[in-house]
Amino acid sequence: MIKELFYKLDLIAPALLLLFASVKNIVGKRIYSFSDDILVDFATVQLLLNGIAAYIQVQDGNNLWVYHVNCITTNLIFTLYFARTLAQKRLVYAGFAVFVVAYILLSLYAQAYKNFPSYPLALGSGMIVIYALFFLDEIMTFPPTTDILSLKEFWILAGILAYFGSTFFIFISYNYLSVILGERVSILWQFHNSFLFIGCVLFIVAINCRKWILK
Amino acid sequence: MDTEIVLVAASTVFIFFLLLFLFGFVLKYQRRALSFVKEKELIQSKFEQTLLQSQIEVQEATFSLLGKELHDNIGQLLSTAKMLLGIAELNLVHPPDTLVTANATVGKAINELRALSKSLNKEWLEKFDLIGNLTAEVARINAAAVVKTSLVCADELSMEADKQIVLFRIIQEAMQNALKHAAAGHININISQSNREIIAIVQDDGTGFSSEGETGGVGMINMVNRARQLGGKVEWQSNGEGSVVTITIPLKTELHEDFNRNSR
Repeated sequence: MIKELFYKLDLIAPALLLLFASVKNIVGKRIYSFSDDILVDFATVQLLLNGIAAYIQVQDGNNLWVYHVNCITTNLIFTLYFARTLAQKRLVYAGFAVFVVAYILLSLYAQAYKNFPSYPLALGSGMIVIYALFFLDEIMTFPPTTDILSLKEFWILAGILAYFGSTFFIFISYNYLSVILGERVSILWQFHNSFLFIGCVLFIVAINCRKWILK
Repeated sequence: MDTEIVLVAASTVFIFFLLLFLFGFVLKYQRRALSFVKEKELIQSKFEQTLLQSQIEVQEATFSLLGKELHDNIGQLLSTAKMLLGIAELNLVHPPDTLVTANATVGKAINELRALSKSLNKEWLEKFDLIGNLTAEVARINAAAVVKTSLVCADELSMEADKQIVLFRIIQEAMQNALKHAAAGHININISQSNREIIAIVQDDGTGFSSEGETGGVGMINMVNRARQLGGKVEWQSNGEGSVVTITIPLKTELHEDFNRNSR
């Protein structure tokens, strides 16, 4: 039962995030910030693509292409987020260009659409973590408020570091671990889903915050 | 199974380091944000000081110009008038009393004008200390024989010349208020000094003031601004049978240092 729950966390976590955002929108009648929109987009993409992947798996089909789509879409969403929020926009654009080139090369020579895209996923996660660290540095340089815990961006960055930081390590060592674990490789997804859940909880805290940096 | 244990351990270590990082970030951020706020307040305060200093310099320049104009234009006209009256008086064997009185009155007006011109001129005031300038101001007011003014003060004040001029202007304004608005018969000025501060009290027996509206005039605002420039304060008390203005100026404060820097 608990094991099943862990496997379903990649659907439960974004669903909870979406539910919370919707309730907050309806009950709170609040104005959504750009950050909230990004979080809702992320949750929607995760729920939709993880749902499709799960459905294909049940049908015994090849769902690996869904992870390619997920990898590109997630990276695009957070590239848009950081391109707007970070002062060093050129870094984000250059980073995305590097990601696209690296993704094409990896798809051609290492992990085509029929394989699991662990290296592009690791690369994408690593880049998002780097953007997040740059943003934290910007916030530290020019503190926008005296109470950081009330700032939406802080919780978003905490969620990004928790989720993408962990997935970077999971995906970078995915090939190695899959050899060691063999048929038990699915256990990695339990860890992945747990960190996605932690990330989504932190994103829920972010949506609940009423203070954010205007960009 | 061993690999799973390693994975769990690695995840735990990751979460631990993430929490440690976030905790450290929050602590460092709070410290930085507080110092940022303090820095902002300091810049704001310095800006206000500079602004006040500029306002006071403009006022002083205006006073000086006014003093010079009074001395050079009206003073010269009065001198010419007195000279002509004197010639007319000399040409007559028995000059009428009205002519003699007019000549004396013009002479008195010239003296008063010169005294007033000097009290407005910063360069002139800087030649003397606060006590000297106040003594001259009291003599000028007493010369009009409308109000009886007295001055009690310490023998010497340990205050820089620039600041003494500012304090003089505050006391001068308090005296002018007593003369113009309070219809006072007596004005007493008392200046005392301790190790920490100089306290100047200007007391009159005039009508005083009762409503709050009377405490917000331009003169009063100027007094408060000038006192703030020296890091001090001005307080008013009135019971309908006169009023007391208490000016407290600290001898050593951070604002004093700012004043010194700004006035150089």
